[in-house]
Amino acid sequence: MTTPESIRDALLSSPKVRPTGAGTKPALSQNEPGGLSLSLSAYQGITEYDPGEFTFTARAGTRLETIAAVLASHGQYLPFDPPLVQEGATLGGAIASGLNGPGRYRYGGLRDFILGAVFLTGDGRLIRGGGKVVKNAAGFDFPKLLVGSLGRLGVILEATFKVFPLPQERLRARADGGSLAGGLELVQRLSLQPADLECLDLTPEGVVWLQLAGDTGTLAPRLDRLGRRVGAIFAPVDPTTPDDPDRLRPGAALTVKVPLTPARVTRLDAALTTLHLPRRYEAAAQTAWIGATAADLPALDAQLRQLALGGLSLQHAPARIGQWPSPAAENIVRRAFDPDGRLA
Amino acid sequence: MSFISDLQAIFPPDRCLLDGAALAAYESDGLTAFAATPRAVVVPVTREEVVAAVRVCAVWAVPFMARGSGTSLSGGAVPVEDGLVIAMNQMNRILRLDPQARLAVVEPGVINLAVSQAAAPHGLYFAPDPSSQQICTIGGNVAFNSGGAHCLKYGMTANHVIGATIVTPTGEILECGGESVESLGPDCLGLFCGSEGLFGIALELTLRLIPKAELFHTLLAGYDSTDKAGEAVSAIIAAGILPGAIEIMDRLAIDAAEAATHCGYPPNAATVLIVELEGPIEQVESEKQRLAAIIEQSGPLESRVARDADDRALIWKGRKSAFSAVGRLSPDFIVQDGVVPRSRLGEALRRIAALAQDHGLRCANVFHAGDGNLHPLILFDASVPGEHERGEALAGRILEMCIEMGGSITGEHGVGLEKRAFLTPMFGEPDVAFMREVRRAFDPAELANPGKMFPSGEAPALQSHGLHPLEKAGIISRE
Ligand SMILES: Cc1cc2nc3c(=O)[nH]c(=O)nc-3n(C[C@H](O)[C@H](O)[C@@H](O)COP(=O)(O)OP(=O)(O)OC[C@H]3O[C@@H](n4cnc5c(N)ncnc54)[C@H](O)[C@@H]3O)c2cc1C
Ligand SMILES: Cc1cc2nc3c(=O)[nH]c(=O)nc-3n(C[C@H](O)[C@H](O)[C@H](O)COP(=O)(O)OP(=O)(O)OC[C@H]3O[C@@H](n4cnc5c(N)ncnc54)[C@H](O)[C@@H]3O)c2cc1C
Repeated sequence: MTTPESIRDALLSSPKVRPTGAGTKPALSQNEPGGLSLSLSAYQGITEYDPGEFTFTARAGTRLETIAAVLASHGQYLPFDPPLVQEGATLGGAIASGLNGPGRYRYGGLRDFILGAVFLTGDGRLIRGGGKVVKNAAGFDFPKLLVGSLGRLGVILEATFKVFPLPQERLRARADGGSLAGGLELVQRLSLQPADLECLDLTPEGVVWLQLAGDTGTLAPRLDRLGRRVGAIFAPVDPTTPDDPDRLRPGAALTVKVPLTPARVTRLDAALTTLHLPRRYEAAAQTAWIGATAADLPALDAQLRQLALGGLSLQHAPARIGQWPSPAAENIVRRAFDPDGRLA
Repeated sequence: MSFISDLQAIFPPDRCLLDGAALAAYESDGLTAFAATPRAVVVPVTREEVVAAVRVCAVWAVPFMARGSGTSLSGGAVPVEDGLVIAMNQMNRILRLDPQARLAVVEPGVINLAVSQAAAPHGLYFAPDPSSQQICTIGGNVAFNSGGAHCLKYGMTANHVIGATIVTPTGEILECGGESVESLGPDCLGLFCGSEGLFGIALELTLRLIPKAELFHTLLAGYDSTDKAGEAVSAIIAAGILPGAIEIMDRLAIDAAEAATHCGYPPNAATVLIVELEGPIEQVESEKQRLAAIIEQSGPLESRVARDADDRALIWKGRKSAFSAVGRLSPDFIVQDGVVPRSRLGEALRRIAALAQDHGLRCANVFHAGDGNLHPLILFDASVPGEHERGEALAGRILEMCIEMGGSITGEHGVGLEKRAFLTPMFGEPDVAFMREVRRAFDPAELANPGKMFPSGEAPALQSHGLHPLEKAGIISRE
């Protein structure tokens, strides 16, 4: 499947289709019995990259790892910090699953960096949405709509993204809040500071992890000043120690994403304590990442429903647990995007 | 029973306007080139009233348009002839401001600047800052995905809205997004932003607030050619610096700004470049050394750094008033809004100058150089036969150039009425046809703001071009 035409023919060959990338989120790309798995992983390649424009365009099957390496060789990066890069996640899969890493805290998520997309509708029409320049307000923003669509609205063929310059240096540090409540309080104080933090994570024990990024030589004094301002002692962390928060990055041990607000952390955490599930709160407690096996999912699902929270499980089915947002708007756009219900 | 009596059953007479004089105030918007008379104007004060009005329109198949402050520069807020205007400006309460969650829940008629003012005591602000921000509404910002001078680093309105309650043209209520910056499922909220009122009316919006930067560093440099200024921008980008704003103005715009505001721009320069760094103190201190070296290398006629907050404000005043100021030099003008790849800004300006000469008109340029967003300002005198037509023709040629260069027909002002003819050249027939299908999925009877964005039918009456009444009064200025 290396041309839009062959992908389209394959799409139209079956009444039920699930597009897939590399399959790093098996629960998401899982298919219904009798449905066709349409793999985009051979549709690869960066088609345009002009570092001076801060933009690139690549085919959906291109591995994020490849993209990240090419960007890095020009001193640029994907600011939304996608998970599962090393595991082989593809660009199309990243868009369709809409996942972000801890670095989304600084400049926003994937939705804030996608500029354009070429896709096939469920009935096989080739559509181009958005544009290839960093600013564009013409037409409907289909690229954003496809973010989080889980392969259920369209087959993404190609996308254009905005990128940013890599910082010269990064500094990771931790502070102990003593308890979840203490840590949460510190996170909230930090999130109101003009500190331009790259990451701001919290563990259930109340340890606050942060990451600064910027010019060489500026980070230690910034950390020092920040600590004095919020009355906390930050210990710089060697990223190679076993304490490295990257070990707990989403996708590896933590496989369920739950969008959150800081006010709801305490109750969610109490529930997760009862269930004995590992977890971490990211982006100033705007997301919980939870480790759950297939056996844990039913209980987690029930708890999330009670708290009126929803979750996306990447590794084990069902992918959608807890209370999901109303599908009313999605159902409306589906009439145009997938009139035959091929991708539903 | 009639459409009007149904409205009167919902709205008291002082909020249900029917007579000619009252309706006249709603005939046009910031573009002022088009005007149309609505059948009625209602002024809801609750979301229930908005929903009820939309449902009455659905029953009687009457087209409607939500209106914020009417500052649209593309004719987006010109009423549908004989339709209903739903004026949202009385729904202007900030319902909740939660500094801990860094969000504000607002009614759509809230003025953009009011959000930042309310957030200021917590060190927070709402990032999108169109230069109409003292007057335009959040609902209008969302409908047009409005921008401003800070889009390269901070994005547009869509990047700062995290939740919306919407009433669709069939009267259905939709909830999109929520209170978290993360969400589940397709990003329908992202689709709603920038949909120019064609999917329905926003009833309530949840906005993301961010901490105000600790330090600003504003640099002004004058060059003897636009190319040199453009090269300086490229060098800044190549050095991995991400300024909060990078703006360029040409000679005509400088003259006008200087005359209007005495902003102290270099007197002999063909072009001025404004670069503003912002961030934590240590970072800005480091970047400003790097920036100084780049500017030095770029061969400016002169350059200076804002001494203090007042000086910074003066530099920005010149920039922000440029268009209204140029407008005062000419009886009529057209503000154009297009985007080209940033690295081809110099080429775009040369082509615009040549096109202007071909059309025998003057054209001033002010642009957001960081994101390649051009705002050519075409000057003409409508009382001279043929000038208006030539102005329109030139504006169109500039958009064609943007498309040809791989850019966009609008960076922030939207398609509205003005650019309907250019949507298909930019996207192609199949894409536009599909957009229309998506629109019909929300609005099968096409009652919400019909005639906008899509190439179609008749345009409302053309009037003259000129300053927005509020600009004449000196209340707002355009970017
Ligand atoms: C911890 C871990 C364990 C793993 N274990 C195994 C294993 O045991 N066996 C194994 O074979 N692999 C395994 N993998 C690899 C992984 O399952 C696959 O490589 C692959 O599914 C990942 O592809 P992706 O990330 O690009 O997106 P996918 O997981 O393929 O897809 C994510 C979502 O995006 C959608 N999507 C993808 N591409 C598109 C597109 N172009 N257009 C529209 N929608 C699209 C899908 O429908 C799906 O909803 C593992 C990975 C990890 C991280
Ligand atoms: C002097 C001047 C300077 C400007 N500078 C900038 C600038 O720097 N950047 C920029 O991007 N724009 C700029 N603009 C354009 C304009 O201010 C923006 O487009 C603004 O967002 C419009 O807001 P408004 O409240 O006036 O909306 P209106 O003009 O009243 O309406 C605009 C559109 O929004 C729709 N709408 C309004 N409220 C709602 C709602 N609640 N739900 C759904 N749809 C709704 C209307 O139907 C209409 O289609 C400028 C305009 C002027 C006059």
